[in-house]
Amino acid sequence: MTLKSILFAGIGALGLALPAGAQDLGLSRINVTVPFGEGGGSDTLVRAVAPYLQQALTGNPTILIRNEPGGGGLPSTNRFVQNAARDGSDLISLSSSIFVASALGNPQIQFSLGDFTPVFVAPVGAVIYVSPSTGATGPGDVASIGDTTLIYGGGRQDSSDALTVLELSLLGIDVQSIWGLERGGGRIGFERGELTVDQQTSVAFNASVQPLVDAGTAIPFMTTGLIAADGSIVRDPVFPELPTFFEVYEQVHGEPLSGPAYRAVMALNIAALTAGKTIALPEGTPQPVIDAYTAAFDAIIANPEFQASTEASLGGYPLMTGAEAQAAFDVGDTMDDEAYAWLQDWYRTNLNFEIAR
Amino acid sequence: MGGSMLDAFVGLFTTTAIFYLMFGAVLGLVVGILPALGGAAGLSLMIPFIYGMDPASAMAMAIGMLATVTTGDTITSVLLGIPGSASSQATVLDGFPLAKQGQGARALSAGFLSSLLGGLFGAALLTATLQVARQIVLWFGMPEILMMILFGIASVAALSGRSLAKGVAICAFGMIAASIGFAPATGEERLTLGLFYLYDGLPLIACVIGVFVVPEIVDLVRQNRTISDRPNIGSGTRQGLADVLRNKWIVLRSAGVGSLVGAMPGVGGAVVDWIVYGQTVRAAKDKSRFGKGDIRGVIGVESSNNAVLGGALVPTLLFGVPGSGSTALLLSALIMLGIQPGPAMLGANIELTYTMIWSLALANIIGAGLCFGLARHLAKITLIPFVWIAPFLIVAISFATLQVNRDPRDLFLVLLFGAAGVFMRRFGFSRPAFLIGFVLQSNLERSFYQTSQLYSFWGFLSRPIVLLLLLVVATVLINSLRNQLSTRTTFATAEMAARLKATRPLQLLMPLALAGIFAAALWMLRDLQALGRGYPQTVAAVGLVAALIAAWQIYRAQPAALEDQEQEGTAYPVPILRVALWLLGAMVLLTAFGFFAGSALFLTLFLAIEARARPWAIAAGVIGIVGLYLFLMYQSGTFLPDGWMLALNPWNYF
Repeated sequence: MTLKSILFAGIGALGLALPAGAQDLGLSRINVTVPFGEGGGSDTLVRAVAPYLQQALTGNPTILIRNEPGGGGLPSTNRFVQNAARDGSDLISLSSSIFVASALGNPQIQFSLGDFTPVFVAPVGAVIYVSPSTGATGPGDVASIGDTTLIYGGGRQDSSDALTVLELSLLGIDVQSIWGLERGGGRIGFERGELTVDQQTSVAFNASVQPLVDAGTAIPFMTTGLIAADGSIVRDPVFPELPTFFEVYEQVHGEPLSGPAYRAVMALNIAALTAGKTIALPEGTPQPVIDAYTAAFDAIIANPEFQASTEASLGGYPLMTGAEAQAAFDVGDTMDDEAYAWLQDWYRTNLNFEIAR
Repeated sequence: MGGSMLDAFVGLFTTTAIFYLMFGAVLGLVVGILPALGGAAGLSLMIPFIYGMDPASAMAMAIGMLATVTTGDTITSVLLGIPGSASSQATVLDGFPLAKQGQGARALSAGFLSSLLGGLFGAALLTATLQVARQIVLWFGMPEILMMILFGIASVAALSGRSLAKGVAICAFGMIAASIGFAPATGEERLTLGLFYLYDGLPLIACVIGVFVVPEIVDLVRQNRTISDRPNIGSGTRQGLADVLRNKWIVLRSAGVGSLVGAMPGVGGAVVDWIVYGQTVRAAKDKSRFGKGDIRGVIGVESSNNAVLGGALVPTLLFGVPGSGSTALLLSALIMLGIQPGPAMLGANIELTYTMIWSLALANIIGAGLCFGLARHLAKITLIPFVWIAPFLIVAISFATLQVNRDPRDLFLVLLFGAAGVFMRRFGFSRPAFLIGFVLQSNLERSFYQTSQLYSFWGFLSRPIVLLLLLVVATVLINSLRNQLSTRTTFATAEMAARLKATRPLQLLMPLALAGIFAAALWMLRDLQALGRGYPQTVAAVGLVAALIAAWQIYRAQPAALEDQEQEGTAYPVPILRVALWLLGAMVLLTAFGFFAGSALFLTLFLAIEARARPWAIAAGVIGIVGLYLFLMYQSGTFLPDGWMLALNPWNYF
């Protein structure tokens, strides 16, 4: 028995559990471009979805996952926008790093978010937590932090890590940020006591930070909040007891965040978290094909097997398809010039870093 | 705790997990034997299978594969003089000369036994320290990591060869090459010449292949003979085993260093083999045979590289922080299986943790066992004329290069570094020193910058582990420098002196080119922010001084600085230009026609023209190697880039 036959047997077994009414696209093969190497976040998402998608389409088309690493995923995404077939046979798995690069502006990007039609969006939530040494005593306790400088460690300035620093600084907290950390480096630095604030996605938070919270060495401070399809901000459903950044802001300043700063934070939030994991068709795909994919993904999401198998990796967030996914996408499309100028200035004064578009 | 350890063992044998473990172990050997293909590449081929497996079987397979890569790669390193994976480059240094002297079987069996012992040591250490390992890792903060990296850099002194100036210059060159891309502190674009291709920095594997593999292929093709200079290969297997038992202390020390460096994320597990090699040389009383076929070189390196994985599992499993490319993929695989690494690996998931440790131990035994059986037969490969082996190696290294970024431009980077490597090899510029600089540069820069931001100088010095490591680094440096200075190099014969002096203009090319590169780097860096340029500027300045000193020493014909391997009496019947054109032709064909069609064309041409092979032999060769890679790609659903003129990928075809 080869690995492949075992794999196919597994896929077959899964198929039995799926509801009838598969969508007919008349395709025998579907290519999914993953602009990153094997094993990354967007690769994992596609591999989780692929066997279910195959069953949800008539004729069980072969789903080929095509990894194209390099250049932060930008060259591959550029190629996809240029070359992808518009008949539903080409899908792409987009990730937060591509959205953030697009929001911040990068001369290498030859696409805009409008070039994609999202068919499946898996939002991610994130928790910002602090060390008790900062003086904070509980969630949203900005007052007790006072003049204490928080120390944060991030990967790159032009990645979603900057959002954490942006939010903390908007709360009026002094943050010293240290850059160039490797994957997971912020959390290990926090555990060593070298860093005093960190941010983790909810999945990683539950696995690695919750034990610290239980031991009293970490305090969950706030979530970045999720943005619903209508553009409103809601509490993270996984951490309903934690305030969102926007709530804490209002509590500190007495009024909600507004103006260009609000729009910049929203755009980055959507790019980094809400739309962080997206499967999309190229723009210009006919509506019937989009509808067929929407129905297929709706069926997948409703499948209890799928829910059980992805709960751990997707964190149990409400998944979006079709119009809902499109709406979430549209909120973060492009930052207006005023918001962008504000962000540019914030980057310059706080991180000594130039962004340009 | 003991109960779950036993449960894991029983679980491994009473489920299908044991079969996956064996499959993984065999795949690991194949990946290890294929030149330059290492654990990370093997795991990325495996990830498509892993999704949906039960965690115990999946991890048994993944660990089984990772554990035996460092056993299988010994074979390629010893017999062909080409690293089977990045972690056994140092094995080549003494293993290959032994193979040339007809002692391939001895080197192999010593290597396998050392690999086995090192792997078991890593697994045992992991078991023993599992409950306290988290705490130990937490003791190593940014200052301690910085000192560990400096410990690695210090081994450059012992690996520089005869001229320290040349060693420092080439190490600085490695660092400058590695600082291309984003500056970690400021996020600025650095030394990219405005090319987006360089934004991510240079891919490690292309540099390793260029500097370590291409020069060996070029040299062997030019010599146009078999690898072994003896027609018969003695058994030597038993002697190899005895060698290991005689050097128990080296095994233990090397495995210890391997595990420790492996356990520290951000130190650089990729250069453990060189660090340990440097240490083995330093500790030995009689150093005269190293590099010419000293079995201790093989034993030290092979014990360490199998022990790395045991150490590397600590931060990966207990913190979710991977220390290397292969453990980063292992982490992804775990997350894919629905398991979040972290403290729960010692609690709810403890049985899986023990399954992984058992898999590590068992795979090492399986891997070494299979290799022992094969050693004698495999050693016969050294009796085949190299012209038959070379084209397959060129295809294999191209595959290893393309597998990383799927970017055909990387193939030309291999040629560029290959050219540099040929010069380094010929004129005595230490290639290990280059690699240590290249690999450790980004970690050193980041860790230096982070430490200096978080710690005051006195705060740094008041940490006990830092002081201890400072002492170690100082001892290493002083010892190596004293060795360097006390060794008086003289010319072997007056005739040799004359010949070496005659090629001085050629020898001067390399240090002058390096000086030019350093000067250009200094000029290009001038506009960056202080935090982004300070570090590479220092490196370039040190490199510039070292390169100029080396040039001056060569100009003054100092014996220690003069080196030209072409004057040492080896016959080179095939002109270098011809070999260079073949390599260039191979890369052009691969780029134009894609990997599969391109390599089939190249193999056919090379075998027909250089080896004058018969059509059936060519067909067998092409089908064999292209078929093997086609099978690997098809099974794992991995893509290679299309050619410019022809797209031929298994998926598009079948």
